[in-house]
Amino acid sequence: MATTRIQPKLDEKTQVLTITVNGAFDYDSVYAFRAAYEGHEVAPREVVVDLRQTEAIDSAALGMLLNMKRNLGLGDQQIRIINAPADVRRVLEIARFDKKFRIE
Amino acid sequence: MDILVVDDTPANRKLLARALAGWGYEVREAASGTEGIEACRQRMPDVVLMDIMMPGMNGMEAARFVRDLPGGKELSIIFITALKEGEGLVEALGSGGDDYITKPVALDVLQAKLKAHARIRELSRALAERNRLLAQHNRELRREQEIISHFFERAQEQNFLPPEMLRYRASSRTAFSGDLLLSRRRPGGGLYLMLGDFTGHGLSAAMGSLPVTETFSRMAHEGLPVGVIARELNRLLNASLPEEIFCAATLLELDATGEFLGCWAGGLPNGYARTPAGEMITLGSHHMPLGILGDGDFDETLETFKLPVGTRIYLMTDGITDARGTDGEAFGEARAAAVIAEAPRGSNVLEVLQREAAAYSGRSSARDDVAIVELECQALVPESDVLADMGRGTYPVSLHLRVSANDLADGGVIRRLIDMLGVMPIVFRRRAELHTVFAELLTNTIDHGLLARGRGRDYDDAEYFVDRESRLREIGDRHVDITVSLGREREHWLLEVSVEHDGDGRAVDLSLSDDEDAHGRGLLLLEALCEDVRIENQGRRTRVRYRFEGLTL
Repeated sequence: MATTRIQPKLDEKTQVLTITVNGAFDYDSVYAFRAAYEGHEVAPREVVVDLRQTEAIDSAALGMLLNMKRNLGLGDQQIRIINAPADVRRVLEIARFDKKFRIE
Repeated sequence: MDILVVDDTPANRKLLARALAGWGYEVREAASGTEGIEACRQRMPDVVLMDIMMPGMNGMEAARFVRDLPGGKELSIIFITALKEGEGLVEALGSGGDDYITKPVALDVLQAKLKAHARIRELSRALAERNRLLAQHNRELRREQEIISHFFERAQEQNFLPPEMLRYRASSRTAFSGDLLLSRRRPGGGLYLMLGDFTGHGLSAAMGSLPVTETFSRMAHEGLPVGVIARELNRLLNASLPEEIFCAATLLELDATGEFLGCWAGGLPNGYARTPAGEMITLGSHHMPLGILGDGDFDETLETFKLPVGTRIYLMTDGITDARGTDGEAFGEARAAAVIAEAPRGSNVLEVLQREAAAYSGRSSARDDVAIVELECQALVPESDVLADMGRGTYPVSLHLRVSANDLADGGVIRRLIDMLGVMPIVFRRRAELHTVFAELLTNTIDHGLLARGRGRDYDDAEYFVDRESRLREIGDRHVDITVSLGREREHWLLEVSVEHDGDGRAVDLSLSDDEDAHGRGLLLLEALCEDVRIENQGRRTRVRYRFEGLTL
């Protein structure tokens, strides 16, 4: 398993921040995830978390997703979690994250 | 050098024979044309000195006979003639002679001529030897090509997709194509597709397709994300092929519903998707070809699309787009896209595209290897034998890991644990869920056991993560023991995990769990994923049983 790579991409026009998580999104990578959404010159109005290449997820990562929502002051509809593979999606559903985020 | 003297006059014959022997040649004598032929039949000389005017069969007739004998093509025939230059010489040389010398024979001239013929013979012998070697090499090469072709065909013909989903046309300039089309089903349903085009033509271009096929198949079998496959292929090509060989490629991953497409495209012309409603979507080729960038610079980012079922995707190599018109301009992506967009419904788009590109260039055949693929997006459920296969190659195994608090501070423990257990196919299949299970077990044990932190703590402040690391280092010699045991219970596989610490705190008890709190959420995940979660030994040990549901023996 390769190490986790987290890449933010902020579209300054639309203020949509896209964060892709490649590898395991877990305790060891949540600090990098925080860095990906913090400190942008333009505050994101919407965040898209692309989990297509996410191999696994744990509760620390789930906690970090909640923190991001709180810290950026975003509503339920302003964070989209997209392309989650079936295994990762199952964890999101167990944690009832489908009620707290838009999972597409 | 072996010389035969054919002359009916004994005096002339003896004179020549003596001179030749004196110069160190091996000499035989024949007194008539017929005798000469017989001598040649017994053993072919290197040079024949042939008198033209002889009773019975004359020299020219004898020369024609000798030429027709086995091995008679290579020797030199020098006529000895009383004829004046010009008279009958053309006929003499036309009858198979290489040269002539007039009577009376000037010995110094004869010696010079023999030396010249010896040189010519040596050259022609070397040439014949070289030709023989060349023919042999050619035969060997052809045989090798046949064997290698067989490999490539075997590698390429393993197409696992239903024929109504995948169509392609390919033509190659040489016996081997630098083009490569691979398709595999994903273990969880859906498919992978790769179209590649190696630099160059022929065998050197085709060479790289073997390791690529092997690696692609293996990783597809494991169900890895297509970006990860692209990264590995890039690394492989960098490591195993000469620098000038690389592979322009587009890799696709379609999920089980046939609606979600991931695309990694580097170096090939853009791909195009045409929806059933006729909408055109470009699959942009944004990356560098495989085999150029180092692993650190490689970008595995995919472009993802949600496409209606029934969408047709077209990929092509630059054999199509590089077709040159009479004005030197290339056919190009825009023309290719227009052909795809305008093709009438139900028509054979691949055929139309190839025909249009060929017509544009005014050639009947392409200058480059050409490959075009059409993929129709449809739901593709996993094959049942894929499921049955999953238990194969898995054996019961037990593992005990003792990691210090320092090790935990370094991170990567779970990754390594999954890597170790992941050699068992059944564990590899479920590595995502097991990663979550191990992560929750460790987090609970570290935070509440080793570090004895209170409950209710959330990952609110950035300090939390730094804090956890530095606090772990303070108690660096404390340990966590992880015991994992994979085994069978009746018809199921079962993984038992126990995590025990020697710190001061207690792991959080399940009875206190609350899903609104981060740790409660972790325990909730454990409870949902595992069938039995127990806290034992005064909160020092947490044990779970994970059942591989759906995967029977």
